[in-house]
Amino acid sequence: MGLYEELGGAAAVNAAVDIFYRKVLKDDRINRFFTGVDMDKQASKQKAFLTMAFGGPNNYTGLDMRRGHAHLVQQGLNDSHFNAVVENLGATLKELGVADRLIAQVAAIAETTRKDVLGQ
Amino acid sequence: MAKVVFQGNEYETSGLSLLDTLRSRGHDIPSGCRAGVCGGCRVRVRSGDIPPAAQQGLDEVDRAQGYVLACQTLPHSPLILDDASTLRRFETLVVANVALSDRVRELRLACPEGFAFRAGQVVQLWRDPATARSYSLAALPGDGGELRLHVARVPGGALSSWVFDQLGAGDLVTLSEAHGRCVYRAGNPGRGLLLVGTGTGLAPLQAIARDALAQGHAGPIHLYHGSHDEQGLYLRRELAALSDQHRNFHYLACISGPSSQGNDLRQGRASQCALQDHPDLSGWTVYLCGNPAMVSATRTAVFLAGASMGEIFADPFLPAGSAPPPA
Repeated sequence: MGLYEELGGAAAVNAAVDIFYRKVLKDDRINRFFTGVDMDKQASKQKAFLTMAFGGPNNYTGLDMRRGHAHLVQQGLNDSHFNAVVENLGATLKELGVADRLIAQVAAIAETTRKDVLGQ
Repeated sequence: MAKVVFQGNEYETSGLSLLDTLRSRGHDIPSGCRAGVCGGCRVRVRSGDIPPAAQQGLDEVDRAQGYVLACQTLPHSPLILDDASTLRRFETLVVANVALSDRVRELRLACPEGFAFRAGQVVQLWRDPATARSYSLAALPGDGGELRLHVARVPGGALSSWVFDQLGAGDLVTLSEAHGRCVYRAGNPGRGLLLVGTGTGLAPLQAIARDALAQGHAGPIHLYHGSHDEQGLYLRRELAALSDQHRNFHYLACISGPSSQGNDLRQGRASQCALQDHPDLSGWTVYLCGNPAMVSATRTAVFLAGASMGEIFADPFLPAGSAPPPA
C-alpha cells in the first residue's frame, strides 16, 4: 500500500487541510505570505499541496512550483519559512494521530520541493 | 473528443481534459492539482452529458447544478459551459412592490413557468438590456408562487432608483435563471448553522434559515443581522415571530453605531456579536452575506474559530462595476 492510501487518501487531505491552514494563518513567521489571498483559492492550493505531500496524485512540475512562488520569493520567502511550513505540516499530522514513520515520509516528500519553491 | 462551448467560443477538446482545452485557448481557469482533489478548476455545465468522473468528490448541491472539475472532465459529447452571458432569461410580472422599511423594498414577482431555484440563490434583474444587477432570492419555492427580491436604496443607483421610483404592480421585468451555492444543504440536520449578514444580506440568510426549518433542521440556527443604525434593520417582527415558533431558531439584531438604551438590540457589529457568542465553530456551517469587507474578514475569523473551509459559504454583495464572483 502506498503512502497516500496508508494515510487515508482524499479523506485524509480533507481532514488535514483545515487544521494545517489554521496553523499557518496563526503562525506569525509565515502568515504574511497568505493574507490577501482569496480563501477559496487558498483552499484549493492547500489541498493540492497536501495531496502532493501525502504522496497522492499530482501533476505539477518543478517549473510550476518555481513560477507559482516566485512573487513570494521576491517578498523574502526563504528556507526559514519553508521549514516553518513543514513544521506545521508535521504538527497537523501529529494532531491527527498519524504515526511518526509516516510523518517522516511526508516531510521527505515536502523536502523535495524546497529548491523549486524557493527558486534556488 | 468533443465540442465545448465557453463564452461564445466553440472548441474541440481533441482528447484533452476540459481544463487543458480551455487553458490552451488562453482562458485562465484556476487549478491547483490537476488531479481532481483540490476543487480549484470547478466550472458549471449548463447543458450536455456530464461524464460521472467529472463530478467525483462534489457535493449534492454542486452536482445538481451541473458543476464539474475541469481537470477530470473528458467530454464524450458536446458541452455548453456556463457563464453570466449564457444564463437563461425569463420575463415576468411584478405582483407587488412593498416597502419593508424606508430603505428596503421587497419586489414580488410572479414565478415564471419552469423557473427552478433554491432559497438563497441569486438572479440578475434587468432594467434595460445594458443595465442589470444581482439580487438574492428571499422567498422559498412554494412561498405563494412568488419570487421575492430585497432591494436596498443605493444613492444614484440605476436599479434601485428604478425599483423605488418607477416599478409597480403589473410591470413586466426580465430576470435570469437562479444560480449560486449559498443554499441550505440537507444531510446533517443536527449541525449548527450560523448566518451573519448586513443590509439586504438578510434576504438570502432568512430564506436559508426558513428553508432549513422547513426541511426539518433540528440543530441550532443563529441568525445575526447587523446595521449601523436601527433604520437599517427590517423584518424584525417576522424574525422574532419565527424565533417564537421554533425553539432552535435564534434571531439577533445588532447595531454597530450608537443606539438608545432599553431595546432588544445588541451593541456591536453582527460579525463581532456572532463570534463572541460562538467562539468555537467546529462542526458548524456558516453563511455570510452582504458587505464585502465584512464577508471577507468574517470568513477568516470563523475559519480560525474552527469552521471548516468547506462549510463556509460567502456571498459578498459587490457594488456595480465590480467583477462578478466566480460561479
